[in-house]
Amino acid sequence: MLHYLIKRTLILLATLIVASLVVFVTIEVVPGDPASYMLGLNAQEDTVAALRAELGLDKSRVARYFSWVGGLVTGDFGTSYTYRTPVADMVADRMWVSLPLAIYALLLSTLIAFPAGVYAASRRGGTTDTVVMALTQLGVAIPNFWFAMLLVLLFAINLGWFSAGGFPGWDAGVFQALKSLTLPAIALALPQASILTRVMRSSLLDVLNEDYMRTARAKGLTRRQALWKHALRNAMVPVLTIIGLQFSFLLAGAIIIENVFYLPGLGRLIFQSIASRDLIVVESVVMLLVLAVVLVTFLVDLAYAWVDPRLRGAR
Amino acid sequence: MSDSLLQLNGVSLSIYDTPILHDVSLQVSSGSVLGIIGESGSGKSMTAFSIMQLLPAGSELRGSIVFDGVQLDALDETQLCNIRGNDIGMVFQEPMTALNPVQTIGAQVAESIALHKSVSAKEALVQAAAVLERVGLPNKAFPLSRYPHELSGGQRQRVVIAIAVALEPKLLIADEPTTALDVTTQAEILNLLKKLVDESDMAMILITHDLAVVSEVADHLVIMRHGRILDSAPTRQIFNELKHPYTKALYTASSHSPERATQPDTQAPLLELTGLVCEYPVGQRPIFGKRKTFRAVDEVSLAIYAGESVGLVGESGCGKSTLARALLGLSPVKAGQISLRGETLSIDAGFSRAVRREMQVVFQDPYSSFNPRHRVGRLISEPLHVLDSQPSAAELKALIRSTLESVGLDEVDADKYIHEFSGGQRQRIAIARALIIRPALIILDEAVSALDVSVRAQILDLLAELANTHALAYLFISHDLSVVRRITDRVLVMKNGSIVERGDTEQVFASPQNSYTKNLLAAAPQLPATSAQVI
Repeated sequence: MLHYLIKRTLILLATLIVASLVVFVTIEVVPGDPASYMLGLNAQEDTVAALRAELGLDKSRVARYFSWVGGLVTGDFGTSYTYRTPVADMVADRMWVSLPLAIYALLLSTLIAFPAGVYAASRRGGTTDTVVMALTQLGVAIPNFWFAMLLVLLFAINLGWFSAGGFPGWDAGVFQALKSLTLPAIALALPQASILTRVMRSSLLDVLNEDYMRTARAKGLTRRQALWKHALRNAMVPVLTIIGLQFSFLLAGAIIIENVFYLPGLGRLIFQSIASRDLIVVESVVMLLVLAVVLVTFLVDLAYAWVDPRLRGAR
Repeated sequence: MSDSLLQLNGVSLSIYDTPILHDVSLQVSSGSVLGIIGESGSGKSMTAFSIMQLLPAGSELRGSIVFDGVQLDALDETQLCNIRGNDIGMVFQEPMTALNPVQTIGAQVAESIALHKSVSAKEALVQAAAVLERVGLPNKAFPLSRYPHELSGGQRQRVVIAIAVALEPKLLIADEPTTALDVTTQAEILNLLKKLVDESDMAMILITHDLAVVSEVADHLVIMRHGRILDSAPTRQIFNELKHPYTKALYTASSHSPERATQPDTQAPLLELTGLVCEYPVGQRPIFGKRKTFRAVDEVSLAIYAGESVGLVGESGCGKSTLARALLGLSPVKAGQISLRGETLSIDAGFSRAVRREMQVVFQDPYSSFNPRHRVGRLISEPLHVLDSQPSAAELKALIRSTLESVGLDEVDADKYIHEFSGGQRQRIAIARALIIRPALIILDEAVSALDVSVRAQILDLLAELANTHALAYLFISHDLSVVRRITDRVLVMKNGSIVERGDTEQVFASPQNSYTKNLLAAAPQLPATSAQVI
C-alpha cells in the first residue's frame, strides 16, 4: 500500500511539472504582447518598453518560467496586468464560488444517480428501468444552458422562489449563498446525473452476472442482500472514474452556466482574462485547474485501492 | 424409497417456453453420493439450480422437489433463503470467479455462518477459521485476511467448499467442482469432498461431464441428455453393463483412440529448440530499478520431426503455453535457439513470413479466438496473408471449399458467422484456419479440453486423419493425460519451466521414471473396466 501511495505521489508531481511547462510554452507562443495590448495602438515605443520591464516581460523565458513556478509554489501568483491586483486574491474570490458550486452539483448528481442506477439495475427490463433509461437519455440530450433558462423561467420568474442570477457572497449568510447556487447546481447536475446513472446501472448489471453473485445467493442471501453486500462495491470502479472526471469538468467547465446565472466563477475569470490578454491570470488559473484535476485523479486512484484489494499490489 | 433425503419427481423446467428439463426424477439419501453425468446442454446444471430454486427469470418449474420432508417448490423466498447455505450447500465449477474479489476469505466464510446462526461477528470469524482448517487451509499459512486473488485455483475451490459446508448442510451440490483444476489438485479436491461426506453423513450430488472422475466418487449414477434422464443405476452396475446405448457411446468416446498411421520422418528434425529461455516481468514496477522477472521456460531443448505427434503435459503455470507462444514468435525469447528444417531462426527480429506459414496454432476456446463480425470464409483465409503471392478470387474460393471439406464442413458454411456453429464445429473451423496454408506443424494448445467427450472423439479422429493425409506434425499441449496418451508418439513432461521427463508415449505412461510424472499419472482419474462389449 505504501509503495502504491509513493508511486501515485511521484506520478502526481511529474504531471504537475509537465503541465506547468506546457501551460507556460502555450502562453508564450500565443500572439499578442500584453504590454502593447494594455497601452493601446497609439502607445509610444518607450512607454511599451517601460511597461514590459515593469511586468518582467523583458527577462529571458527560462528566468520567467522559474520565477513563475517559484511564485506558484510560495502562493505568489503575480499581479494581474489589467486589474493591477494580486492574482491570488482574484482567484481566491472566484474559487469560493466555483468550488462550492462544483461540490454542490456533484453531490446532487451522485445523490440522484446512485439510487436511480441501483434501482434500475435491480429491476432490469421492468417499467422503472425503462422510465429511468428514457429520462437519462433526455438528461444527456438536453443542453444544460437551455435547461438552466427553463429553471429560471419556472422557479425565478413564475414562482419567485429563487433569484434569477447573481451571487450575494458568503457574507450574506450560508443559506442565501447556497440558495443562489441551487439553480445553477441543478442545471449542472442534470446531465452529469444522467451519465452517472447509466454507468452505475451498466456496471452493476455486469457485476450481477458474475459467478460470485451466484455464490452469494447459494449462501442464502436474498437478492437485495446480495446486491448490497457483494455487488455494489465491485461495481464502484467505473463509477469512481466518472465521478472524478465529472468533478474536474464541473470546476472549470461551468462557464456557460456561470454566464447564464451571472456567477463570478473561475470559468468567467478565464474567459475575461483571455479576452483582455491578461496572460498571467490565465496561466495561474489554468495551472490551478490542472492541480485540481491531478489531485482529484490522485484521490480517485486512492479510492480504487480502497475499493479493490487487487490494486493494492503485493503485500 | 422413503428414507431418501432429496426426491425429485417428474420435474420439468422451461425458460421462456423453451423446454430445458423433461420429467426428471431422482433421489439421494444421506451419506451417499449421486453422480449426474451429461454433456453440455444436457440440463445437469439446471437440475442443480432447480433444487436450489435459483432459476433465471422466465423459468417455469413443474413436478415436485421434496427435501428432508419439505416441498421445496412450495416455499416462499424467505424460507428458501433459510435452507440455501444452511441445509443445502453448493460448489461451482469456476473457482477463479466464484469468490467476491473485494472481500477477504474469512469474511466470506463468516458471512454464511452469521447469516444462519445467531452468533456475534467475532464468533462467526472463529468458526470460519475452524471450517477453513477443516477443508485443508490451515490458518497459519492462510490467514482469514487473505483475499481470493492471493490464492491458487485449488485453494480458492477449498474456500468455496468451506462456504458450502460451513453450516454442515445435509446436502452438498458440487457442479463440475474440479473441471477447471489440474489433475493433482483435482484428486485432492475429490478426496476432500469424499472425506466431508464420510465425516458428517452428508449427501452429495456431483455433477460432471467426466465419467472417470465420477466413477471414483459416486455410489449411484444418473446419465442425462437433452434434459432427460436416460439411465440411472448404481455406479458399478452402470459401468459393468453399459446398458443404455448413450451410456455406451459416452464410455466409448471417453476412451476413444483414433487410428493413426503416420510414420514420423526421423531423418532430420523439422523444428529444434536448444536451451530456450523465456522470462516475463512480474509484480509492480518498483520506483527505482527493474521489475522482477519470472523464468517461465528454463533452458528447454526439444525436437519435433515431420509427421510426428508430440505431447507436452504439465500443470497450469508450468510454462507450456509460454513455450508454445515462443515457438510461434509471439512471446519474447531471452536465450536459446530455434531452428526450422536445420535453419536457425532469428529470435529478435521476429519470424519471417516463410517461417510463419510453416507453423500454425489452434487454441482452447474456439469461440473467443474468432472475430465474431467476420464470416467463416474470411476467418479461415486470414493466414493466407503470409503467402508471397495472393490467390485469385476463384482460387481462394476453391481453397476455402477444399479446406472446409477436409475438416468435415460444407462449402456453404463459408458465408456463416461463428456464432451459428456449435463448439465442435468451431474447433473444426479453427483447424481449417490453421490448415489452409498447408503448415508442417500445428500447435494444439488445449485444443480439445473444452469439448464434450463425443465431440472430442470426433476432433481427435479428424486430427489423426489430417496428419495422415497432409504429413502434419503436432505439438499437442494438454493437461489431460488420457488424451495425450492416445494421440501422441512421444511425450514431454514439463514442470516449473523445465522438461523433467521425455520419451515414447507408451513407455512414459507405462513406466514413468520421474517422481513428478508418477504423481501426475497416479492423480489422473481412470475409467473403470467394463464387462460389456465395447466397440
